[in-house]
Amino acid sequence: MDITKYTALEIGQMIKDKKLTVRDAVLSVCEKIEKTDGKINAYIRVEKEKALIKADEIQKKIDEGTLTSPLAGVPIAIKDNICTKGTETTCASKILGGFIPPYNATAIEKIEDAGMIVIGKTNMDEFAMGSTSETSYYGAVKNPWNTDKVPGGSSGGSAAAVASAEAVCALGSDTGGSIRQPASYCGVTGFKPTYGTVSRYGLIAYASSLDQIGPLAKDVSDCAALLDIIAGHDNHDATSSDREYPSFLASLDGDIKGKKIGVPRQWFEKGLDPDVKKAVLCVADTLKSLGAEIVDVDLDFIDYVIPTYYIIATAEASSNLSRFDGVKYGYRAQNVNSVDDLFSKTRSEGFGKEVQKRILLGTFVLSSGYYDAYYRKALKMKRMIVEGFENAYKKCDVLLCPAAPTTAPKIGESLKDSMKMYLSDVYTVSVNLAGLPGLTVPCGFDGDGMPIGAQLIGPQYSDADVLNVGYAYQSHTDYHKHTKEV
Amino acid sequence: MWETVIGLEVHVELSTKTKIFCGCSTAFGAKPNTQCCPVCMGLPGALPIFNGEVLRYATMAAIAFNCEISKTSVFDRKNYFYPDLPKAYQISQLYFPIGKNGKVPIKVGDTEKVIRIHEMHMEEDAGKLIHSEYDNETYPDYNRCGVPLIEIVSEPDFRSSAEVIAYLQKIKSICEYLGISDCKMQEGSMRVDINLSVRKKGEETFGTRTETKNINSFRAIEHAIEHESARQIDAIESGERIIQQTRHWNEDKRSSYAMRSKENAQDYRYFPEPDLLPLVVTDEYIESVRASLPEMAESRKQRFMSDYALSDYDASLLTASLHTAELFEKTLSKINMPKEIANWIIVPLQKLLNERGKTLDDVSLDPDNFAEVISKVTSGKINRASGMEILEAMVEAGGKIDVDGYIKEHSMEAIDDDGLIVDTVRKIVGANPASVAEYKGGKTKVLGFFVGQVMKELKGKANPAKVNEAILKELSK
Amino acid sequence: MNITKETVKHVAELSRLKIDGEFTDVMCNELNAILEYMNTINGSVNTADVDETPDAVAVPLRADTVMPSLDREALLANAPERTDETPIVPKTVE
Repeated sequence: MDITKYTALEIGQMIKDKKLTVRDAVLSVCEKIEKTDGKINAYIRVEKEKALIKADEIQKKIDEGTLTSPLAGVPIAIKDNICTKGTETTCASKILGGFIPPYNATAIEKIEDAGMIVIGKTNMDEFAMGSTSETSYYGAVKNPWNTDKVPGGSSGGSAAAVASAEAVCALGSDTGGSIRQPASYCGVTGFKPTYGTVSRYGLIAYASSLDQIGPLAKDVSDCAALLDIIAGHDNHDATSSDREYPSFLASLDGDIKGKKIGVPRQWFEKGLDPDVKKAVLCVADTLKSLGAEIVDVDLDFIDYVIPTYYIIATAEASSNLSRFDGVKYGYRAQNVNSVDDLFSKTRSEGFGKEVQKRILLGTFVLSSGYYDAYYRKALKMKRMIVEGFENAYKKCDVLLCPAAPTTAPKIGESLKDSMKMYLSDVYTVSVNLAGLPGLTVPCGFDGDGMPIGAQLIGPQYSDADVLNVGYAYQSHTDYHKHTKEV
Repeated sequence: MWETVIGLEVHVELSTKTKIFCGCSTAFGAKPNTQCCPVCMGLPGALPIFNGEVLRYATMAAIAFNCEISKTSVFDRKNYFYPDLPKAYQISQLYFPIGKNGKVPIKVGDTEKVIRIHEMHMEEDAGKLIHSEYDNETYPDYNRCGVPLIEIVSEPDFRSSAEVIAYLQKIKSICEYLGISDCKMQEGSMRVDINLSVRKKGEETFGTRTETKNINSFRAIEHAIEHESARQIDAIESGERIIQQTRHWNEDKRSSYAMRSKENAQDYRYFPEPDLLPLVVTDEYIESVRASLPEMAESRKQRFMSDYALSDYDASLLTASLHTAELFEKTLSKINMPKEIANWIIVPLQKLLNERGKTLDDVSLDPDNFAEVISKVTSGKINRASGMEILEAMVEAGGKIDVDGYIKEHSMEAIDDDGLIVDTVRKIVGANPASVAEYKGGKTKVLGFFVGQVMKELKGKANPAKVNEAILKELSK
Repeated sequence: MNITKETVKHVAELSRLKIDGEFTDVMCNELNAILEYMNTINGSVNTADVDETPDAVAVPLRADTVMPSLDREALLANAPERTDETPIVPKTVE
């Protein structure tokens, strides 16, 4: 049975109704991967055997009635920066080659407790540093809509896997747009929760104050169902919030009457592709027709979000990535004559160029004599961004804007001009800086038939509201149902 | 005339049960890497969770050092590469430390002085490196990674090694009284870095300073200070400039050497630790910690003076270290002779320890045993000299011996036989008629002569009280 | 402001990265492009009035209760060069 056109919730229901076995669900996804992934390169590693063993265990529990999650038995793909016990986890880097975590990330524990089946580890930009999924040690990921184009990044493998039906749903991570931007490029739905909603324990850090795990799936309902599983307080993550969450899935009612949708006009000016602009403004019209009120808001910090983000993210990264030194795990350089030699040789051979560049940048902005001008300044600008959002939410409930200024660029284009790549994160990074929830929903196609995504951003902990606006939108549009056979 | 200016950075290991950011045990002496987990070994994706007991201990210390306590303090990362630091950063505090602007009063001889504390912060310890004797290899043991420390940074207020030692003994005493650390320099649970510069007396600006590390005993501190200030004075007098550098002390060779220039060119790139939120303490919290502080040296001293009628001098000596005060009180609970016990501790015991370069940290003298020795002497079962000898044997044995066995083995029992004592007295008195005449003539001082003669005859083992009694009786005949 | 090749080399040393030859020029140029952009923007943003006191959100406190450590074999299994008890690094003392 080919299950690849169904959503995760539909597959979960079919399993519950005994119309489909867990084993068949796994086999169907694996078959699709075997057929397609040669063209897409969405996976670094597929764990078919392990998944099949797990499938039988889970089937038994479902039959016994001990697993009741709506996604029990549903296969899921996991971004390769999330630790999976016993399964190699590399961050798509040579330096973590062979690293088999002796523990699961909390999100993986929760996924497994719910009875979902980890099918494999998805490709990504090395250490999540990139917006195109081209910097992977395991080769570039291709966009299923046009394999000459990038799928976005850094969760490009997860987005491409969902878009090509090589995965029913997936987990990604989002530091500056790494879920929302590839979701936009690949025409899938992706959600970055409020910072602190999902435990970061076991997520290999890029920038700790910005990183957040989130779902990529076929629609908002699947994202909400996944968030129900992975959200929640964790004693192993000091930045995890101790709030109680209502069921995100159950709170989707599609009623957005009277909701104020803010449109930041400054965000629709220079540098925005006309097709993208048109498609995103159309979303405003649709939401208005569903009873929402559209209001203009002023968000002028857009001009300095990129420096703020790149200073903070690379500073934290330079420190987070220092532990990769060839001693405790991963790659180790040979023929070294001292400890320092071991460290620097291992690191320059093990890290790719983009990662090395960001480490250098991050080290520089923290170094003696430059800290105040860069890092400290960025922290202040970050505060101004947080305040900017707070002011905007006095006038509206949810903001609407693009997820990216263009549709997916061609493979190779961004690596030639990394400054341009950095600038393309302009719509997503501020959401991480302020720790807000952000959702990408597909909302149209450009002249070349490439998907366009709209982004909905809410205040902290308004995740259910943001998802509900997306859900209302998807209830009245079918952009998220378009697929492209690879 | 030259003046030495010294500031200290003191690291004190806190004696919590678990590490500062994970639940691994801090117990000393485990096999390499058996007290480790993904957090303290810096595995990818692992995150720190702060131990609330570390905050309580640090708050106690901040109160005891008279610091201002920050309501909001922040952990920072100190970044550097070394194989004993698995994350390649140490979680510490720089920009917003828990304590600031403290004061520690010290006393050198009769001079009192206040040492200002610049700041006090919490941080994690690094691991230990084991060096192979055969190969060109080093083996990291991460058991100590994440053991909690407080670092106490003083202002450059010291002018002599005596002041430094007095201050360190005060810090150690405070930490012991608080029960937050055992402060053993030899085991590394108290570590001292010395920032030292010299200048001409009367000058207002400081000279260029050096930092001396790797000092493992109080004695080494004295040596290192003397050596470094002499080195700097020599250098300046011969026209050289002092270079700001970190120096490594070698106590065996009594000399120091400058660390490699790379280690001197560190740039730690401190920034706020994003994996931890700020640390918030309320007034209520600080007050509750203050209210729960144990009895400290000063109040114990006052109590010793009022309860046991000890002099200010005796009480000060007995309470300077918690171990001494505890030994005194525990011994007192066995034999109620405060002045006697105090004398034993202050004079012979202190002398025995000093001769061995030890303190009561190293020799945990058994109070029961100690009480036994004292009471045997005071009751005349053995003489004082034998008591001293037994005490020495106890110190040698690490604090406890079989007292009765030792007395028997060395035939120290006092001669208690009244007949023998009276016979001996009669014999001595009979043999010295001139002295007897002197005594009867009013020169009572000769009594001592008779006692001495009798004791000599009885090889020093007679019960002195009985000898005295018998002589008086004989002479009054 | 321009960062020089010397600065790049110094930063690389702090980061324990070996940057040499052509790669130094590439990095130098790219970092300069980024920093130039950042300088322009940062210079135009007035942050004089921004409050820098840390947020008063309290870090959670853990009880001082010993938890079992991870099995040593599991911890060391990933070390590329190791003994039964420890990883191995080149000797750090003479």
